[in-house]
Amino acid sequence: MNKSEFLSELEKRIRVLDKSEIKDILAEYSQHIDMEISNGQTEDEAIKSFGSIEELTSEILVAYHVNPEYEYDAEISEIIDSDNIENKSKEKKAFSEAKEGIKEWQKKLHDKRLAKKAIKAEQKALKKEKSKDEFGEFIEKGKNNGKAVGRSVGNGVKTLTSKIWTLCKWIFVILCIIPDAALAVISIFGIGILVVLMFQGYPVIGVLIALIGMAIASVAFGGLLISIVVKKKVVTVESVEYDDIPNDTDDFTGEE
Amino acid sequence: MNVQFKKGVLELIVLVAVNKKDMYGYELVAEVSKVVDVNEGTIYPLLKRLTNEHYFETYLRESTEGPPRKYYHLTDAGKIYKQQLENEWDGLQRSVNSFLKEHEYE
Repeated sequence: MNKSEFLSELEKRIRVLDKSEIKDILAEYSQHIDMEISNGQTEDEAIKSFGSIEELTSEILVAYHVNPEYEYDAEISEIIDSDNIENKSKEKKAFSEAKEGIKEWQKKLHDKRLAKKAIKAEQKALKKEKSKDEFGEFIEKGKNNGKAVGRSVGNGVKTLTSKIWTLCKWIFVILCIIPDAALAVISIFGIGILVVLMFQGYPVIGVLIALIGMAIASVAFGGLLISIVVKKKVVTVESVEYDDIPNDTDDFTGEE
Repeated sequence: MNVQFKKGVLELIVLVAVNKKDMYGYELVAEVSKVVDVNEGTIYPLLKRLTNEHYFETYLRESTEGPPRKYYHLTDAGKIYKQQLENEWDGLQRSVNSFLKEHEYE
């Protein structure tokens, strides 16, 4: 072991101490070795006169009331990581790679979670997601899809029910208007006969008035039935309003 | 020599040596080596400890050769401690000697 090796080894082993103290100790030993050399000893001999470096460092540490056993652990770790710098950098590299791997994995996990969220969002057609990233968009899409599906289903049900309702109304109107029209025709026909009979002197004025009333009533009822059909047209106007939905989704895409 | 003997007495020798005149590390080591055969490396930690305990104070002085040297000077506390150690040593060696003598003649 030469002087610089000895000093660096010593420094490693007492690094637990204060920096200024380490400097001081190293200076002292360095000076001692120099003096020994100037007195005709070799570097190697001068260093050997210190005895084993383990004992020496433990003495120094005891002088500072540091448990040398503690430093022993530090020594080991120090020796390991100072073994060579290349190894250290390799370790570092491996470590950073591992770190990145973990990060990626975390990201994937995160992505998975987001995807789950997206599915949920689709299922429930949830509120708008704040995030603007890819997955946010995905969620947005999902939501839009969900909304569209919901809307189309709703519309389908609505149009179906309205169609059934209209059909029912038509059947009802037709079923009612046939006897109503027949009644109106018969009562008008009856009025004609009764007017002739009345002029011939028959006392049919009461029956005539009743028939007139009946004719008016059946006409009015016919009007009511027709008004139901007319009202159905109003319903179609309403459903036209529902047909505005595409505009609504347009607004939605516009928001994006 | 028994290491424990040396260790105990080394402190006293160093204190006495520095009491005579201020010395720098190497000089002290050389002085102590005259009395006891000691591992030279172990004297520096001892000097450190005594300095930390305020029995020594140090100062730097330029030397004609090489870097400035750190000189050790005995403080008043160091003088009291030295005296105490001397008395202890005196008492110890006397009682040990008398004990040895007693048993020699048995």
